[in-house]
Amino acid sequence: MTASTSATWTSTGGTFAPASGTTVTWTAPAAATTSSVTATPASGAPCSASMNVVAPSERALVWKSDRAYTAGLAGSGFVATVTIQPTNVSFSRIQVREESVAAVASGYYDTVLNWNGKMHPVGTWVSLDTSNNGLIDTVGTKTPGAPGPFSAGDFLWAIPQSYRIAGSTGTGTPYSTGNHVQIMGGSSGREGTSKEGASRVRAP
Amino acid sequence: MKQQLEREAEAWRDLTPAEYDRAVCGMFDDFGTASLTAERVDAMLALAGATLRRDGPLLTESRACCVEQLLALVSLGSERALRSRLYLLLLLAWLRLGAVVARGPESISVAPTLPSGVVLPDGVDPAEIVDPALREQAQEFARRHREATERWNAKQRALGHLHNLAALALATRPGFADDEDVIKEMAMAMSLAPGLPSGLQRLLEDAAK
Repeated sequence: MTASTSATWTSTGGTFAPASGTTVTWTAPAAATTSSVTATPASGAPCSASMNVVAPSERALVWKSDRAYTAGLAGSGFVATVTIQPTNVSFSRIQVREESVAAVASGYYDTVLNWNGKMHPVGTWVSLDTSNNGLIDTVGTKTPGAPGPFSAGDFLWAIPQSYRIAGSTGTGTPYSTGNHVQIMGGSSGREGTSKEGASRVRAP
Repeated sequence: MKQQLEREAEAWRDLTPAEYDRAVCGMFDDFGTASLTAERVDAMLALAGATLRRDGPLLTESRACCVEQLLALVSLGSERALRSRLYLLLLLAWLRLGAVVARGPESISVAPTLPSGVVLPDGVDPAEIVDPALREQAQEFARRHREATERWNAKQRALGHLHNLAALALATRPGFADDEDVIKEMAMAMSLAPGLPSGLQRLLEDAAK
């Protein structure tokens, strides 16, 4: 933030570095709120502005590439880029991670692959770049693919997504759920995989 | 001065990079900028020189704290010899942050990959892998992923500091006119740091004109 003359900077939330001068950096508070920031010059009237602090709302995945599977094996995984929404807010000072959850699987994924109850582990806290990007998510069955016999089934990881302020410690704040879904139609082994807006369909 | 340098050396020897960053920022905060005696300025510069000589690939916050203190000294005005030292230290800190950016990966996977031969959805807990050799390999992949994530996170911290510090450095106007050329040369030198985003590089190149 910049003032036309040197001023002392105060706010109802967040911090300034340095606390006085013509050009300072305001760091928003850790929660969604409205903060009033004020520059008070040595002489003259103070000037205030209202700042809305916005929390992340969800992740959006964009398909980047298909994963290559061996013919005859099932699999419809893909690689996707991750963007934290909304994109008109910079989240470069937060970190995100995926939390733990047990898979709910039925049919093929349960009886053949034994994936029911498979744990999605707690992820590592990862920072975002200045465009809320830079993260890559690899979704779906591991290559070279999963064997038959194929049959109808479905698999769900309802992965809680959390954020925290970079540099803080402890658990984060949940902001959305990333549903990783795989569905097999029947004995053909045709399968679809989707996660947070990106998807792919493939037959063995 | 000797006491400060001993504390810094102990911190470097005993602490993790994140703890070292916090400890050194605390040391710089202790100096403040009000009523700095020549002796305290010397001690601060000695601390800056000592910490900036440390090649810590994950250090970011201590570099930023150091630059903020140096810029505060620049804005206070000082003797020509001291100013030269300040600019050299500023450039060294800037290059250290640039090196952190250059070392970081271009992107980071949200989860470690699994070894070939595992029939599982990617991202599964390595503990779920029955085969002991594959499980061990998955745990090694997870360790490497943690290290890559640390470098990525350090890169993003460093980029944030570089943007802030460029704005502060270009806005800091020392109380002597004969440094105008020095500031332009500093801006040009800063623009040549490795790993700078193109927008920041252009900002510095424009300031050097």
